Amino acid sequence: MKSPQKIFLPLKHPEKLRAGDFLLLNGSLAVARDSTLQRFFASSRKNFPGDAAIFYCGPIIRDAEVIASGPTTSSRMDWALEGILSKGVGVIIGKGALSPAGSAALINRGVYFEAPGGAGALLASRVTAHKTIAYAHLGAQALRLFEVRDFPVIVSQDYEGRNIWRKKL
Amino acid sequence: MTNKKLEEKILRANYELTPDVSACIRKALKNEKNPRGRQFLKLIEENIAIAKKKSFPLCQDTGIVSFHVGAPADIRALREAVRKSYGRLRDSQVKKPFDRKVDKRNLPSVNLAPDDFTPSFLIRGGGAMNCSGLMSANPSSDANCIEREIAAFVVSKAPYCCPPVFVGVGIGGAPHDAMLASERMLLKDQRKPMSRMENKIYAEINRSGIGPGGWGGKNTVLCVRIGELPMHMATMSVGISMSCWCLRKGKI
Repeated sequence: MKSPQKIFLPLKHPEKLRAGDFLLLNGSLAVARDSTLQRFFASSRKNFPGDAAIFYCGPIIRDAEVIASGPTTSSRMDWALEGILSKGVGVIIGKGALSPAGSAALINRGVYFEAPGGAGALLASRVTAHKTIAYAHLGAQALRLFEVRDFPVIVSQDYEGRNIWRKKL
Repeated sequence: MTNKKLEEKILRANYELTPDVSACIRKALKNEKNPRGRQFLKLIEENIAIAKKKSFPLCQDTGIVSFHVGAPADIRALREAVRKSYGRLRDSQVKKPFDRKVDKRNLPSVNLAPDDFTPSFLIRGGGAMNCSGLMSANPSSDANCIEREIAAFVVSKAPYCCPPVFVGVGIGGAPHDAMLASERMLLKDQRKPMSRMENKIYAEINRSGIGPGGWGGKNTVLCVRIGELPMHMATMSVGISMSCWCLRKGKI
């Protein structure tokens, strides 16, 4: 395995990445998932906070510290992809294969990264700051902003649509 | 057992894997050759070390607790222990299917186990539960056919359930008995040698190449455990309970 590439968000040259590349992300991510996105699209005309990257996650925050923040299953949010892309977000971070429709929607418009599923404690240790932006009453599904340092991901689908899942599903 | 002790056990199960589960992961890292799969397993090992050292949840999805206990169990005490310990974890439960307001009780599932079963609990997240299911097979099916069906089911679901997975299978009983037996199989020691049938399913799943995290490799499943029950002669219920690599459990 090649050594990981350090990436600073917002991502300037998504087309240079290849499916299978291992990256360490630095920058700020909008944290959202099922109910967050339902609320957001129902009520907000704003853009997502952060560096045009969205992270599907429902973290645990104890005594103001993020103590577990792994990715959740991305395909569940494929219904929201069009909306997310239309808000200018070009980096999707989650886990697991996208649906064929989700995967197709991203081609030449965005990239899909997978963080290690279940690595909640490790990924929390790479979150350097966090802020709740909206919907605090949704608990784990509030809209948040994470600053991350050396946040490990693999390129699951690159800009042109090459995909680590293609031959397996 | 006092409630305090049970609360502590539930919290610990969220921070630390049992020896059988860690042994399976270590073994996978030893024999995995795919560089991406290896990378995933190394990140997982780092995660396990951080969670243990800092008393952080291994996974942010601290899920729903499922007890398997013989009668008589003090169900109220079990619920109370979960409510209290989950105050320090994540509220993953919502009250109703459609208005989805957070339910801070984190009501566990409480199930009746056979008398000789050690009272235990299992913790699974949404991903693992979404990937579990029930098949009603033809009672004339032979073992080969059922093995293929189980392997195909697991291969279709594993990409969404944080592989390498653990697979519990219950064959027989009423449909819900098959599901409960399949959950109990996840509570068994996952290190002990597999039966011939379990091994065949295991090998078939691992031929998929999905690998750790879906990043590629030969470790898609770590263990298959099958339990059999008496059943109605016209039925063959096959319950399949999946767990992610992060199989969290404890004895009461």
